[in-house]
Amino acid sequence: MSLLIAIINGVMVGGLYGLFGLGLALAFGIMRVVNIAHGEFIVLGAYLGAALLSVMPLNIFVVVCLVAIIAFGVGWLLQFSLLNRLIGPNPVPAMIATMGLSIIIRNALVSVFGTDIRAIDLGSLQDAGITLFGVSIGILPLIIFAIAIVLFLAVGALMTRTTIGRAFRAAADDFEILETLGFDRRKVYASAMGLAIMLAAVAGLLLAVRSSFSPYSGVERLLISFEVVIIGGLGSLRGSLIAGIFLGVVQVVGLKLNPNSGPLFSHLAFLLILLVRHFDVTFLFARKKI
Amino acid sequence: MMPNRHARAALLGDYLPGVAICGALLAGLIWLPSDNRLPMEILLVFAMAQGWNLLSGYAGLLSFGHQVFIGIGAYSLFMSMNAFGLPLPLALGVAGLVTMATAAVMALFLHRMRDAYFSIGIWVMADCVRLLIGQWDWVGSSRGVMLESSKLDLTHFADMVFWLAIGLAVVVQFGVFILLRSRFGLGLMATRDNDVAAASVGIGASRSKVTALILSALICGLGGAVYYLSILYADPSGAFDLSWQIKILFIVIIGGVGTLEGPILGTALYFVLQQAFQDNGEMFLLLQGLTAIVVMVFAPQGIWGVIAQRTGLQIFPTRRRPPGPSLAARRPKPTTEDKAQAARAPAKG
Repeated sequence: MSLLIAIINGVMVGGLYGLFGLGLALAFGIMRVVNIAHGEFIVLGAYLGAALLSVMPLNIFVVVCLVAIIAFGVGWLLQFSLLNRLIGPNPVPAMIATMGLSIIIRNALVSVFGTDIRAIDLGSLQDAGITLFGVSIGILPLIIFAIAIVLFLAVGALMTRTTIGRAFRAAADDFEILETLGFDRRKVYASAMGLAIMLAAVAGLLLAVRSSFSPYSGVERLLISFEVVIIGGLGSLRGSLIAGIFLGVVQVVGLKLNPNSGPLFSHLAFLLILLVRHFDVTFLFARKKI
Repeated sequence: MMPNRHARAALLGDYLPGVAICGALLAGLIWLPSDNRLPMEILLVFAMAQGWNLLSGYAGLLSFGHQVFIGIGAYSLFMSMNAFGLPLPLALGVAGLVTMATAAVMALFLHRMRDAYFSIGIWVMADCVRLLIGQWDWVGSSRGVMLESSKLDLTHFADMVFWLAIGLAVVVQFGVFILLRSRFGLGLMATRDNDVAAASVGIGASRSKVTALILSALICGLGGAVYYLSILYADPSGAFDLSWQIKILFIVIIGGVGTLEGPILGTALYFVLQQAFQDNGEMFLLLQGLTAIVVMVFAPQGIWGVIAQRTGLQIFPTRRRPPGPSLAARRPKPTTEDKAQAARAPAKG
C-alpha cells in the first residue's frame, strides 16, 4: 500500500517535472538557447514565493500569480538584454553565459538567504487529505497536480490558438519568414523566454510546497529538466508530461527504497532509456515532432 | 623524406617560444614562493584545464562533467593503495587506467550525442557516479576515504608531490601540443569545424572524438589523483564537486577556448583573483559568473583568442602554414585558415 502511495506522490511530483522540462524545451526549441540557469530559476521561484509569504500572509494562488508575473518579466529581460546577443548557429556562448548566470544566482541566494534547507509551510492546507478506496491522498498534492495539468493545457492552447503561440512555433522553424510578416524576432524570443522562466518558477514554487529546497538544489532540478526534455522529445507537450511523470515516479519510489539515493534512480532510469534508444528501440513516447 | 634545413629551422622555431615561456613560468613557480602548496595546485588545475580544453576546445564537445574524472582518479589511487597495497607509481598507473576505462564506458552512451545533449549527458553521468560513490561502503560512502600513509615516505612527501605536479603539467602541455600537430590533431580540428567535410575526406569523426574524450579524462584523472594524494583525503562531495568543473571552465573560457596558450593565461588570472578575494568566497564566485557572461558577450574567443586574432601571434603553433622561404617573412602573414575564416565570417552573421 505504501508503494501505491509513493507512486501517486511520484505522479504528482512528476507533473511539476514535466513543467520544468516544458520550460527548458521551449527555450531550446524556439531560440536554440540551452539555459543552464533553468534550475536556478526553479529555485528562485521557490525563494520568491517563500519571501512573499513571509512578508504578508497571502493566499497561495495569489502568490503563484505574483511569482508568475515577476518570473515572466525576468525571463523577458534576460532574453532581450543578454541572450538575444548570443544566439546563433553556435549554442556554446549562450550555454556558458547562462552557466555564469547560474553561478551568480546560486551565490546571490546563498548570501541573501544562507545555505539552510527550507520548505514552504501552508498550515492547515498542508495536512488536509481525503481517503479514496482506502488510500489517503493529500488535498494539496491534488491541487498542485491539477495546476500542472491546467498549465500544460494552457500552453497547448497558447501554442495552437493564439497569434503569439503561432509566432513561437514559426520562430522555431524559420525566423526569417517570421520577420517578413512583421514580427520583431527579438520580442518574440523575449516573450518565449518569459514563458519558459514563468513555467520554471511556478513549478519550482509548487514543488517547494511538497519538498525542501536550498540554494544548491538548482543543479538537481536542471538535470531533471534535461532528462525530461531528452526522454520526452523536443516540442511535444504530451512527451514532456509523460516523461516528467515517469521520472517523478521513479524518483519517489527510489527514495522509498533508499532514502539517501537522491536523484540517483531517475538518473539511472534516464541512462537506461539512452542505452535502449542507442540500440534503436522505438519508445512509445519518444517520437519527435515539432 | 629527409627534413631539409628550412623544415628543421621551422620546427625549432615552432617549439622554442613555448619551451622558453614554460621554462620561465616553471622557474618562477619553483623558486619564487616559499611554500610549495599553492604552486602545486596551480600546476594541477592548469593541467586539468588543458585536458578539458582538448575535448571542449579542440574536439568541440563542451563537457560539464569533468569532475567525475577528477574524483575517479583520486578514488582509484586511494583504493589501489589502501586495499591492494600497490606502491605509488603503480597506483598512479591504475588511477590513469581506471579513469580511461570510465571514459570509455561513458563514451558508449555519449558517442552519438552532440552539442547540448553531450554536455548534459556527461553531467548526468558525473552526478550518477557521485551519488553511487556516496552509497558505496567499500570506498567509505559519504564519509570519504583517508589514504593510509604508512607506506609513503613522508619526509620528502611535499616535494615529491610538487614534482609530480610539475611533470604532469609539462607532459600535458607539450603532449597536447605534439598531439594537435599530428595527423590526429588535424583530423580532430577538422571534425570540430565541419564534420561533414571532414568525413568526406575520410576522417573518422566518432573515433577521434572518443579518443579525445579518453585522453582528456586521463589528464583530469591524473590531476585529481595527484591533488588528492597531496591532501591524503577524498570524499564524494569534494572530489566530485561541480566547482572543479566551474573552475576549469572559467579558466579555459577566459583564457581562450581552443588555444594552447589560453589555459596558461586563464590559470594565472584565476589564481591572482583567488588570492585577491581570499576572504570573500561568494564574491569571488559571483565575479566568476559575471566574467563568464561578459567574456561571452564581448569576446567569446577569450583573451588569448583576441590577442591571436589581432597579432597573429602563436606561441604554440598548431595551425599548418604553407611552406615559404624564411621563418621571419612567413610569420606575420595571416594563414590561409585565417583568410578563409575572415571570408566566411560575414556570410554567417
